[in-house]
Amino acid sequence: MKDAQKISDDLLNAYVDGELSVEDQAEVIAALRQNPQLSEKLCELRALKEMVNVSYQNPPTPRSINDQQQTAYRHAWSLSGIAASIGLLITLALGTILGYQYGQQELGQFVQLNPASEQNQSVLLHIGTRNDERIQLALDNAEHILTSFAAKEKRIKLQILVNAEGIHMLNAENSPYISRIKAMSERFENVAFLACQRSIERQKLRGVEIHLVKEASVVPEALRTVVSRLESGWVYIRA
Amino acid sequence: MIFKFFTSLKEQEIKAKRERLYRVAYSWCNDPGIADDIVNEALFKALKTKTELRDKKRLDSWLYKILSNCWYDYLRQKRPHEQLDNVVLLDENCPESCLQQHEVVQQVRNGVALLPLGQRQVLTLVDLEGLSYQEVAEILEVPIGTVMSRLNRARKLLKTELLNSEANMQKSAVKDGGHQAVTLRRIK
Repeated sequence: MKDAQKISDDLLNAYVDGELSVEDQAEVIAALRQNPQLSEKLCELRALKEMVNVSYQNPPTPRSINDQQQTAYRHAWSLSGIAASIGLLITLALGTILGYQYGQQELGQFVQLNPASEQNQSVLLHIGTRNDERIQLALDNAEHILTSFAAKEKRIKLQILVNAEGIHMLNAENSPYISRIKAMSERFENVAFLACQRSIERQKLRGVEIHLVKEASVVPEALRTVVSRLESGWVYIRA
Repeated sequence: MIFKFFTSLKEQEIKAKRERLYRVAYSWCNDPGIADDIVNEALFKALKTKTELRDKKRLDSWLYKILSNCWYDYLRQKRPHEQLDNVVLLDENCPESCLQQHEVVQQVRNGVALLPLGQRQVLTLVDLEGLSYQEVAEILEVPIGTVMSRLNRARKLLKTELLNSEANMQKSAVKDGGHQAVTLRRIK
């Protein structure tokens, strides 16, 4: 039997977390009987474990920070949570079928793989990053698609959906892509830039005001837009 | 395979998984917006790399691993020169933090947020999600001994943080005319 003094903190933690074999548990229990201080330590560990667990049972949702909007947002969140769940399921299913199986290929190649020449092509390009390399590549690919379809006189609709950290690329005040976005919008009438309202609100909560470039329009929530486009048979690709 | 498995999940199960991921992400970053971003990113990545999961029984561990990687990605973007073990997100002296300390839950959350990241991750995966040491070791790609030592240090630090927080509250309670401070025992 182990002496009470030899029960290490690691062993006591493992006991609290149910990680010990039956034999080791018996040794700890025996030591606990001999040593009231050890029992006290055990109680503290259990209390801490329970407190940590309880403290995160109801974490604040992204929109519950602002007291003014808290109640309304909670209701909206409960609905959007369900919608997002359904959305996720649909995204997982349709995204796999339509988009991700081509995920490793060049965007241009992908579209060429799906000419559907007699039908309108609709592509949703999703940018959720602030990474310059990825944004540049996405915009390059978008231009390539638009140019190649125009050259072949095929019709295509391309929407560039921006959310999360990517929202900064549509900021009229400091985005390095302003001139490019303007040029693309002037050159191609079939391209649209969509900004996620939720991402804008989230930036606001962090103290960052996003004033959108005039070429961008707003959608309430990026994930819902993705799901809705997928349901309508759009090709979805994430930058 | 995982695609089929995902589609076989019921709506409530998907919702529950997202909620669990969100809870863990929130415990790591202490910011609802960032937690939401990380969970979204993790779910998108999970879909993209679905073929890497061979055993559907390991879905949860696999998702937590992706979540952890997304969290690291986020930190690298924000703090490229800091060591992960030294990252502390919350300033304990900020006014917001001081106001919130009147609630036990906030005290614990603040205490957890002050832990070094590696310790915070181990503590929350074990205490919130009830994962085994072995599972946590695999998710974080560290030896099981490291899991144990981080957990031990995390609990010691958290206890110290809570006791400090309690002591501060008792001081302010005296100033405020005897307002009773919240103690560890209330939740026990």
